[in-house]
Amino acid sequence: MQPMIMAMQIRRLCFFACCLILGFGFLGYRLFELQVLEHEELSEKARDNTERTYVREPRRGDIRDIRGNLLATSKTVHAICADPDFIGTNYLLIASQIAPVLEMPFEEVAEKLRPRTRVNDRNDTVPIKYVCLKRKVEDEEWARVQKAMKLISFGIDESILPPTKRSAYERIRSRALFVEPDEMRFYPNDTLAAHVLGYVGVDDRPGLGKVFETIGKEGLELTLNNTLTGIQGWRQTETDSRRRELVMYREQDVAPRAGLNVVLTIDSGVQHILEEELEAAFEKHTPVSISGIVVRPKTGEILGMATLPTFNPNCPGKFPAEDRRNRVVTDVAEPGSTFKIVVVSAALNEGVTSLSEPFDCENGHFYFAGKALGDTHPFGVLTVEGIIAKSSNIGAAKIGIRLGDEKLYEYIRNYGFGQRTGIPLPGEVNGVARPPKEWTKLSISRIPMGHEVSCTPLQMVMAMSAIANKGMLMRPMLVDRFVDENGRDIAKFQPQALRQVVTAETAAKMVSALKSVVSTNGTGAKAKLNYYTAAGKTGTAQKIMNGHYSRSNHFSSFIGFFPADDPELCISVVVDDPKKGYYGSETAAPVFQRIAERSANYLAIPPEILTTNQTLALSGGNMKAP
Amino acid sequence: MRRRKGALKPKTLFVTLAICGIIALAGIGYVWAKTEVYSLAREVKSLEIKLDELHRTNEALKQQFAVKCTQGELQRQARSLGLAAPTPDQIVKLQDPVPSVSGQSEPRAFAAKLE
Repeated sequence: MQPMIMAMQIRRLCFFACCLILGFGFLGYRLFELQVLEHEELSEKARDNTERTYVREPRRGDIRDIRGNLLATSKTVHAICADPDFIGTNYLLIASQIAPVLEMPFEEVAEKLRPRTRVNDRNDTVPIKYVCLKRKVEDEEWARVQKAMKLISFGIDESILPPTKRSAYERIRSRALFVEPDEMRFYPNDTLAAHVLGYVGVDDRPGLGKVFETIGKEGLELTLNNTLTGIQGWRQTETDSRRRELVMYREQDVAPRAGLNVVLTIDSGVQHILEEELEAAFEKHTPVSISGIVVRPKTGEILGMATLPTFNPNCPGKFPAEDRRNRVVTDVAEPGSTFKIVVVSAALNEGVTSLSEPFDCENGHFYFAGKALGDTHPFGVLTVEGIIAKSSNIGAAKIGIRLGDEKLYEYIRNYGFGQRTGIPLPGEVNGVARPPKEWTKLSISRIPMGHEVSCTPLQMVMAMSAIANKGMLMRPMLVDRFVDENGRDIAKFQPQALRQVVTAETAAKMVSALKSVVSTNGTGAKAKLNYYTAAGKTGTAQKIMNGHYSRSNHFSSFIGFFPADDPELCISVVVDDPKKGYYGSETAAPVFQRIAERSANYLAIPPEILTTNQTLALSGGNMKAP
Repeated sequence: MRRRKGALKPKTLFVTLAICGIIALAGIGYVWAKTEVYSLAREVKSLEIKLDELHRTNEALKQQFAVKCTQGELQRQARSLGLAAPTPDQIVKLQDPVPSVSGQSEPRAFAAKLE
């Protein structure tokens, strides 16, 4: 009996031993399979489940005016994202619940949430786990979405479901949608300096994290995009099953470097005055467009630049493309009589004439190269100063003829026509200033009155600024400095003198002639200022329509500066096709006058022409008022 | 008094207990350190979230301030208060003291004369 029991025990022992060996063998094989054979695939899956690399977006720099007022800034908001794979067949239900809250069409939300697949880099078909439903969502809206998600009913009584199924529905409510940090560009002043600032848009970006990138699309937002954008950082870390970061497993954490803040030469006070006055003129004359620029002639700093119709950079898509165009640098037109400053200053500088030399203006009819040239009013003999004051085309043509083709062209180029000014705004054009070999016989009589050449309003105001600045042409300046996030200056830009176009003496003579324009006898009488002596020039050019000069469509302008002998501001007003009145003296000059007086008041430019009270104050009160 | 054969020596017992104690302490220390790391990580995360929120609040306030400071808004407020920019004839400018020939301003020159 004893040996039988022993044998049975041994058999049982062997059996259990075999089972154990088999079991451990199987486990060993499985371990080998997991750790060796499927190591690559499984470790990658494990990494995908826990490891995350987040791109840390840099803050886009602010844009400020010269006084530090905020013109453009960035706001941290949310992008609402979803995991369609996780949502599965519940996508229609979720779409119907959140579409009204997101203020998006149901079809669009449903399409985005529909489970789909994609082919990854390794040619594997994988489910899409990330879609962006809506960008630029503020806290309040995200709270509403979360509330709507909590109220979703799946059409069954969840209280009778087992806990596992109940928690699955709860997970859909809490985890189907999630937010990622997003950035919204905000322009507190709405339309103020819209064409200078431009606007931003989004661009697809391949790679890690977010698939959208904020980039400048127009204006300074575009040209200074690299400066404003900053440098991305990243964070390599792990998350738990609820996407919460496990900070202790954070491996790399590189902070982003915020974009630089840009300080402009624009003064929002002057810009506001400019835009308000242009708007009033726009309503009065109903032109196609109206543009204005305010420049400091001594430095080339642009204090204000505006064009109407305008747009709101907070919602640029709501405005047509032509409203978003900065006509000050992108549109060219024949300048008309304002261009006479070029030929007259050139002739004075070359010594071929003097301000007091008389010219016969042929009573308004002058035949040259077989074609008639006329004046708006018949003039007899006028001095050069009179030609400027009365804006005689015939007089200007005769001065141009005496100066000669080559010299006239040389001065046109020296004043900067036919070439970009170099202002940091996109879309600036050269304008047209053809060389003499391409001129016709008529050209020498037409160019002096601002025909057969075309330029941007900016080129014309810079030319006038050169005369105001003792003959020195400056580069237009729009950016004053770059500042980092701690307020330290990174780069400070200095005024740049381009060239001495005419001598200081010639410029002084021109100022004297241009003062006579803004007098009772001149064409720019309506530009006369109450407390300052102003100098300037009116311009009225016929627009070219269908290849011919139109008699009913005009391009009216006035460019002037003040105080005439020590100019602080040079202001240009250009009205494209005004419907009520068309002379520059009627449409643009009064606008100049209002902008100049309000700007002078705002900038506290000391008045030259004193009132009785002021005279009394200056003389210590010894004088008696009349 | 003779010790029984096979009985544990006090020294061995002490060493064994010491080793066990060290292992137990190390274990407790390890668990404590892990718990500390975990709680500190949570604290770091919550502080980071709080900092982000403060940054966002700061940004929002900055933007509200910027909106209040816009030219249009200021002008509207000023008009509602009945304020307007003075015209140049309402501004009285006083002349700065003119330096005398010796380079001193008039009051100083007067004081020098008195001396």
